[in-house]
Amino acid sequence: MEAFDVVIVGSGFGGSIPALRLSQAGRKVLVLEQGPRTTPASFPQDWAFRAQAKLFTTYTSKDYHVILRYGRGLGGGSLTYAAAMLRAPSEVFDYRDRDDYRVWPAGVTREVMNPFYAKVEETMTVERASWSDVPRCGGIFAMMLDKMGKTADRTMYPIHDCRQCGFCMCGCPFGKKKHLGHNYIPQAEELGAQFRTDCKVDHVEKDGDGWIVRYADAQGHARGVHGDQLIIAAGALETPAVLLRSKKWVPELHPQVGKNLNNNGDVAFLFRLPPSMPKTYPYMGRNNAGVITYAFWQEHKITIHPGAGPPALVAAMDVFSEKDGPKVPLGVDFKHFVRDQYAHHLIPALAIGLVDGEGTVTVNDSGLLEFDLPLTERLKAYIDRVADVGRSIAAANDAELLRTGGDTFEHGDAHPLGTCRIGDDDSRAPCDMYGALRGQKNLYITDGAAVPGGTGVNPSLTIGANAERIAAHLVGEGA
Amino acid sequence: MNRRQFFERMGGWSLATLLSAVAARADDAPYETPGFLRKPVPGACLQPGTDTEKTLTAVLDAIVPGPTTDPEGTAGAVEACSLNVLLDATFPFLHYADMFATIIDGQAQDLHGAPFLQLTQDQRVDVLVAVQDTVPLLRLAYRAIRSAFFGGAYNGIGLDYVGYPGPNLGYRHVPEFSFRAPVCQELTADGRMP
Ligand SMILES: Cc1cc2nc3c(=O)[nH]c(=O)nc-3n(C[C@H](O)[C@H](O)[C@H](O)COP(=O)(O)OP(=O)(O)OC[C@H]3O[C@@H](n4cnc5c(N)ncnc54)[C@H](O)[C@@H]3O)c2cc1C
Ligand code: SF4
Repeated sequence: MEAFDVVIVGSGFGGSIPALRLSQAGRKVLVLEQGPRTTPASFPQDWAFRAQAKLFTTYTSKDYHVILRYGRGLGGGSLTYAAAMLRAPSEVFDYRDRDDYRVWPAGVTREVMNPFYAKVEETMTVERASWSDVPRCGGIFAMMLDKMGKTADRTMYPIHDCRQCGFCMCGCPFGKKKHLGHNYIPQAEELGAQFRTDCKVDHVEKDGDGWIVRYADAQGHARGVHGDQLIIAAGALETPAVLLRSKKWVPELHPQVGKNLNNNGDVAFLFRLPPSMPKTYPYMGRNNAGVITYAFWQEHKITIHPGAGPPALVAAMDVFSEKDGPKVPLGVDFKHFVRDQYAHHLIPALAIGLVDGEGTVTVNDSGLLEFDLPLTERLKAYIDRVADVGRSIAAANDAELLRTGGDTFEHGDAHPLGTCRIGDDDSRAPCDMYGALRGQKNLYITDGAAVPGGTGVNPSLTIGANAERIAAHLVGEGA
Repeated sequence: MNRRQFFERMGGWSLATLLSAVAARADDAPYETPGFLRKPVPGACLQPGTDTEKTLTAVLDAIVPGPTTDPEGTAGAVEACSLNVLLDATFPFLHYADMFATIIDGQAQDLHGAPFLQLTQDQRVDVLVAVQDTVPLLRLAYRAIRSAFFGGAYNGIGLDYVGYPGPNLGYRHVPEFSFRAPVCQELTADGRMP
């Protein structure tokens, strides 16, 4: 059987970053990625289902009320994310859940994370958007805050010389958005790391102190490969699924694997502006629309950013109006509403905040992934608080906050975290502070599954920095 | 006078628009016209043949009304080929088509004493709202149907309807693209919260 020092499952932030650092330390690394290698030509500007299905894997919750998806391909979510890369505010690392449990390990603070944030920012060439890069709907959102005496900050991105075409979440067809395939992956390949695409890992088996990884290759043939060390970084949905499918071969699997699924406190809504305000053109420009407000962080522990919204996404939301807009997202009223409002008067927005991870990922008898993200009373109360903040912004601008229904996109879609979380408490957290899966030898989790709670902002930079931190530990650089 | 007071005095919105116009003129880079790139979507519309498909076609028309049900007479989900979502491998709806039609017809009988096909547009919307949470997949199906229309899944009718131009070469130099100047105070010096 082929053997490597380290086998890594998944090539997103959690996989590619350790792949580079371990290769730099002279380890023989193999990365197995279920998706394909891409070029800019792989990214059609197309929001239709068939194009989206090639770029994302999408799951609906068992009750069909929530959708979660992730980008698939060499580079994982970095291919099709909107590329906002922000450091989590300090308080994120002090967050305590409903049981007063500090979800981040005491040894991981913002101060500890800073050098690792800096490493990712440098390697991915993250820089702050200029005001000329802020598209119209981001500028109007910033003006709305200014009008109520609040601040908004330009966001950080690994995007340079952007054409502002508005299709980042379909992948950048112009190569302007720097995904992992522009930096970490080629640098690791240069050092000898192998990245095998179209290789889907089914499960893993113990092999002495090491591991056998069982996968199907591009031709569908069953293959096995040995790793002295194993890193699972298949994303917060698939990492626990790989482990749960492996139960037969890993009998003492930590009982919290798959638990604590956290949606990063995401709440989606829309602002509907009065005709007196400038036109929004929410389809123009980068999908994460250039600014974010931290103005509500201190009091409410939420951030809000506008996002360009393709009509397919806006129309797919269960948009309803508390005033004179559509009461249900069906029929003539809704059709006319989308036409009259979409192109000029809507700003889609996403609030992100700190909530407990109360969802679960499981696998069914056929080994297929399922998840639950219940709308608990706590989550409902949080969503209502977010809506109140949104309403205050709307009220100051004669605008209306449009809720997007009690389900699906309102609290789902893009940022699952926490399903194999790191933490200090052996019984609550499957992994120790360095991502080592408790009860196992030489098995590490380094992706969004390991990030133990909400990040207060879009999570990729924190996932990446945490992966850098764990990789530094694995190569003996400490941290 | 701080920036905000200045804005308020000038009437924030008109100043911002002015700023954008000035900045756009100052930007002497060549204009990159959006150059829309939409291509025809291959494939044909699934035509309703069975009773189930006829009922579901009426469902589509209730969700995004077309020429006969929208008083403005514009095309709707049927013209956007949205019955194709039944066949779309992205969704599992094909297996549930008969169940959807049966449940919707049952609800139509309960609420209005007639099959769905014989109801008025308002009655049809009533039925669809009443039934949406009895089968969880239905909400998802409604979304897929709306999204097929407004997102141009099978043709560009819905995109044109909302005024969404679709694929393009970029808006960077379009005058209305950005205000191109600071429009608010920032909390952080470098974009990073402490
Ligand atoms: C539409 C969208 C927009 C987003 N925008 C932003 C944004 O602007 N900023 C931000 O910070 N975050 C954003 N995110 C979130 C961000 O993409 C994720 O948080 C991040 O990519 C997660 O990193 P990860 O390493 O945990 O997993 P991923 O990046 O998801 O990588 C996991 C990889 O593992 C592979 N894999 C899964 N299962 C297997 C298997 N069995 N075998 C082999 N390979 C497997 C997957 O194909 C994937 O490539 C966005 C997400 C979405 C969906
Ligand atoms: S908006 Fe910019 S980064 Fe996004 S896809 Fe277009 S050119 Fe690329």
